[in-house]
Amino acid sequence: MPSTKSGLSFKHTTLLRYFKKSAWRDRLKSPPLVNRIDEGFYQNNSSKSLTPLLITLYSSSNLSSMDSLERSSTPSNEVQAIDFLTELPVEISQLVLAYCDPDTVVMASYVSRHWYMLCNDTPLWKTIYQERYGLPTNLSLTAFSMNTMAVRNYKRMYQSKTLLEHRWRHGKHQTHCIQGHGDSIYCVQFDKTKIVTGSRDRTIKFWDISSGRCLRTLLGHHASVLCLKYNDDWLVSGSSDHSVLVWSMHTFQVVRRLTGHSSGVLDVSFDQDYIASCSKDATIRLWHAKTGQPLRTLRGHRGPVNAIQFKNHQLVSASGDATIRLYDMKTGRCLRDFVGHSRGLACIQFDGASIVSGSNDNDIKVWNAHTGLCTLTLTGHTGLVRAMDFDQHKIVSASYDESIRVWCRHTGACLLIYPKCHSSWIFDVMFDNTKIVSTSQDQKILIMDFGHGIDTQLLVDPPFPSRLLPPPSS
Amino acid sequence: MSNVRLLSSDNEEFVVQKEVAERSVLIKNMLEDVGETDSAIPLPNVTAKVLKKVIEWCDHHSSDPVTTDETERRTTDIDEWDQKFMEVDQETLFDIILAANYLDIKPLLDVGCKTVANMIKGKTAEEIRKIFNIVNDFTPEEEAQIRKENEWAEDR
Repeated sequence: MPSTKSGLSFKHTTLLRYFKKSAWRDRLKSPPLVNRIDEGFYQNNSSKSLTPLLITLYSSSNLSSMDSLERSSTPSNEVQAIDFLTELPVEISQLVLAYCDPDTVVMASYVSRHWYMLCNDTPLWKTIYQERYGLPTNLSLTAFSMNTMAVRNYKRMYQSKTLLEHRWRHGKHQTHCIQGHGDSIYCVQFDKTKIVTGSRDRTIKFWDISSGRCLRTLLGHHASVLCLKYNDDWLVSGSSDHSVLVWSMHTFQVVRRLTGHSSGVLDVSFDQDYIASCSKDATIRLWHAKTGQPLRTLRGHRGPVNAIQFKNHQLVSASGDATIRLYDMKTGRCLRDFVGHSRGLACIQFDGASIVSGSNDNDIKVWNAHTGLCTLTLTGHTGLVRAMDFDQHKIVSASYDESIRVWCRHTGACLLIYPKCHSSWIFDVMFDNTKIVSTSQDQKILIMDFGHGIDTQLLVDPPFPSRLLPPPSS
Repeated sequence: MSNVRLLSSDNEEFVVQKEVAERSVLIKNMLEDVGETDSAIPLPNVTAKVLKKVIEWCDHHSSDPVTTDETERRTTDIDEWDQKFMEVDQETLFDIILAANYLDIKPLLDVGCKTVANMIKGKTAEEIRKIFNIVNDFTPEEEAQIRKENEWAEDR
């Protein structure tokens, strides 16, 4: 190995001096080396550049080395230790670096100015980024094309994502707590700038996610706010007062009150066409999103319907009767039952292909929506699994056992456990790529921030995959 | 099986099986362009010493399937024969890489680049400088700046 050779060679520096002078002359005759003088490397190099030659003298059994020794007397000679990345054509140097892992590339950037330049090459980091994280989503591509400077930031993006991943893997986060509701907080949703919560104190509150300041309070329900969902234009909330309210996210006024349920509204889901609500009255109601007209009532559950979610006109529901149902929203037909939980269900999430459910039997189950088969059971909680959220990789669950757990969605392994993170039952949880936000009977909003100090502006995961709402209708 | 004559920059002639010579896309294209010819193909950028090595490699790999598979880009695994083949001094390695590039022998270029990558991998900056005889031309301030840029990596 050349590394050993040059390493060894430093022990023979005294003998080497013999060879220096002639080599110096030879190198001056060699055109590529004149370039090196221009780059300011040459002077310093000359003092030790010949050391490897000496070694070849000693190891006369090495034929190829003898070869180069012979050539050392010819004018076209070059020294044996070669700064490959500087001397090679740049596209070949890039190929070498493309074969190096990211940590090596970072280390190599400390070697010299020229290496630093090569190691911060945009296409190189683009390759590294894409090999690890795939293509950035459309969302970020738009941002890229709008800002050409941002193209430089693949390295930054890789760094941010890698650090973030590391923090998630090791549970390194900063915790913030927001207080302000006067009673239990039943539901939460958040985005990059704000958190929206609904409480037993009958209000919906908006909070600045970075300062924790309460931005506004919505009054409209006559009893506990049990559930809410919002997008850029609308907020839909359900309450123990049996009604669903549709609010404008521009004026923050109630636009519509949907009545029909005969008991508390436990969950809502909506897109530009439909609003769906489910209730303690064991029914699911579908409403026309634009007019608020009732469209259909889905019956079938034999207990309160605790949670629903729909995607592409397919709606899943989770009931206290211990079953999950999948409905075709256009026909109202129940397409499938999912049987497996031994006790009532408390929460459900659906991304169009997979269903994740949490139950009073303390288990979380992952189901294939198309086959109806349970593919994973996550066991570990010691109380009812009250709320849960998932993305491509993770499931985050919150329980009456006062803990939050993070699970691997593919293996079912429990990755992180936060026991006693609230001092009472946890009612809702949601996460994005940087945060877990949970709410509890203890009247607190807990923010676990994995992204503190990281520039997450360019991070490209959708903000809340399983709950991602469709773009607002015009 | 017809033979091809190759002429190195220092005017040494090599007679090589066509199939072996055609591992080089450059030579392959030349042969297609000029058709059957008796005259030697001049390779003004490759010395006899390096050409000999390159021919040795092409000969060993003459029956390799031609792949355009890019999926293995990141792996620096090199097969045993190639590893042995690449056990040469830096100058020769350097010349082989340049020759592979000039002659357009992608798999040989890849092996060369992987060999250099393996020399860098897992080393400290100082170790890399020693291996390649590079002088640290950063000011202390610049070094501090790079360290700052890479805090993310060290935080792990």
